[in-house]
Amino acid sequence: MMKVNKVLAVVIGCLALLAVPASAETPLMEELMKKYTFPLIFLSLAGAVAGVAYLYLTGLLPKVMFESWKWVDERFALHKYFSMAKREYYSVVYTLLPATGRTMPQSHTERYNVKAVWYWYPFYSLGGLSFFAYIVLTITGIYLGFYYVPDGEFITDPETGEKTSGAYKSMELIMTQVTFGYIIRAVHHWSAHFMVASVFLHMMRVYFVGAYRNPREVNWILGTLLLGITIFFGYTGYLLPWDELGFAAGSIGLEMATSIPAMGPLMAQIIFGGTQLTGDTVTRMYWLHIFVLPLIGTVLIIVHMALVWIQGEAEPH
Amino acid sequence: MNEDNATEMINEYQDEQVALDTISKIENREEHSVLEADMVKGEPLYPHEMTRDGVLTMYIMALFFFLAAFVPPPLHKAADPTAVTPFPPPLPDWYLLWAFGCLKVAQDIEMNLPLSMIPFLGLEDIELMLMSAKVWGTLVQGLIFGLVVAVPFIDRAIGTFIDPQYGDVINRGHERRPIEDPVRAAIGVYGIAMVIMLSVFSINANIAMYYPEIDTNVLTQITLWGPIGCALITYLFLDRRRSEGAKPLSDEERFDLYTNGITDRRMQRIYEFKLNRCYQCGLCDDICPVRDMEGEHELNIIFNTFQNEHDGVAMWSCITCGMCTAVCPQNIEYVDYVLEQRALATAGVSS
Repeated sequence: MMKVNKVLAVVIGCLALLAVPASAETPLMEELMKKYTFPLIFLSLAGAVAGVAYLYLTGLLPKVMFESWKWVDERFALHKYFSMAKREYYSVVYTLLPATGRTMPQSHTERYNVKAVWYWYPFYSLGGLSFFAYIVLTITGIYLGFYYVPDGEFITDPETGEKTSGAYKSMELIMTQVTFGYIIRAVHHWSAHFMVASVFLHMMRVYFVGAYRNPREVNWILGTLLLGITIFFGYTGYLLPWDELGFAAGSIGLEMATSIPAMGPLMAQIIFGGTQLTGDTVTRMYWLHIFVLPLIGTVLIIVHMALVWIQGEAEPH
Repeated sequence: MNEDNATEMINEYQDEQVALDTISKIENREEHSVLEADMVKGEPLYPHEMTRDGVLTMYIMALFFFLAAFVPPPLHKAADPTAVTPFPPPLPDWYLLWAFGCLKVAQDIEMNLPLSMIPFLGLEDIELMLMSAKVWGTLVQGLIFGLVVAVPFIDRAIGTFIDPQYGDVINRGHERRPIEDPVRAAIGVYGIAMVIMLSVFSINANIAMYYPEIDTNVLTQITLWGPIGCALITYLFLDRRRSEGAKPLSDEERFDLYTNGITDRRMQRIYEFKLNRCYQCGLCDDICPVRDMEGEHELNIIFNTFQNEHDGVAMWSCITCGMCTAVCPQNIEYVDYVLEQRALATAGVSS
């Protein structure tokens, strides 16, 4: 009993030391949690990894996984859907394969029994890498969306006397105040550049190996639409901070939109919210950037990848 | 037992057979035929390619964080509609420079009607503005995008134009490497070079600040002729590479080979050396008429000859038709290889 008391005293003493300087108002535990949020998150993650590792090393992992699978399966009869999906998958494989030469996805090495590492391989992963960048952009974009304010109305800053806007102020907030705001925006910025670059290179690869030929014309056209969407994503994105660069880009875009014969002003109205750059422009760009383009883009990406899945990759011989 | 029951039983039996067949196919998916049994299996998607993809993804993630940490994303001064545009003006991001370049390249298209040249009418010259720079600079972007969208159909049309009878058929579903299709590769290089040059052209004001000797006229000339030069170089290079494949033996060399066997084992004469160009696409095996008629999937003449397998069955069943070379992307003369191997095999036998 004495031992336990001693151990408890040591633990509580350590906690109290960690909590220095704990103020009188806030309880000890709250102060601790406030101070050690991220270490705690890290610790819990490490604990989870350690737990899985323990299960794996003792050989209990399959048992635990099977038990939990059984628990879910009892309630939702998932095995039915799984076996159905499996049967459908292989039925498609064996109906498509011999008849048309179109395959469900096999890797290049699987298909041609190539033993060596294929030296063109990196070019074939560009589409996947741009999708990866798209996912990173989604995650970081959600975080930025918590803090960004799509308010482009020009106001005069009472302190400096210069023109500014709500959007620009929120950008400054993200860059200076928000936790991880700077790094998240930087990752968003760079993965956007990477995505555009990899989409360009992906298209070059497809062109130079002639992968757009029959039967993949539709996928090529979808791909060009996705290229356009990616570029438009980038364009709307760098207008949003509403700084000098964004304003200049907006002016150029507005000029281009209005110079389209016959339907110029209409296009300007649809995309820029008028023939002048105002606060409405930022709102439009924001809505395009966070809703319209992601919606169309995600649907097209899914169709694009489904077509690759069905028709197989095109590898030149 | 009535008729319905019998039908049902037959149906059930058939379903069962289909299921069994499918299962056996799935289970034997990775296995090879008897003749190729000791061939190494290909690398599976999991874990090999998944690992490779995973490593690449990790690298890219690391790259993002590296760039994010060391190259900060720019945030310029707040937008001010009343401010004077600075010089040189701020540029759009790199991937939009080509569109910007289209706008800058564009000039007003005017036409002079020298009406005063017509005698007795007393007319004055008229200057007609056909299209303003802004309009066609924008239209050109749409044109470029439209061309890119239409690539499959343009490609097919070119194929049909070159060979009205079979061009369309030949192109159908045949992805090719650039070396097999130098014209298409040259066109692609032209497009890429053009886009790059348009991007360079769009920053002419910035270039002129640092290199005054590169003025707009020079840039215009480079934009016009540079891409054409790139395309020409690409075509010449690829065409040369294409004809560089293993050269067939001359008649004298063949005669010498078949009468005397191999006397001179120089490096270039040994077809194992030439076979190093092979990257196992399998087209020769696909087209091989012997394989088609006799072996189905079980006789790969080249491969089995190369492996010295099956007491020369593979080697001696070749009819030396040369179809394999006709489809080979590397122009490897397999017939000569097989003949050489036959000569080697019979070298010790006196006739």
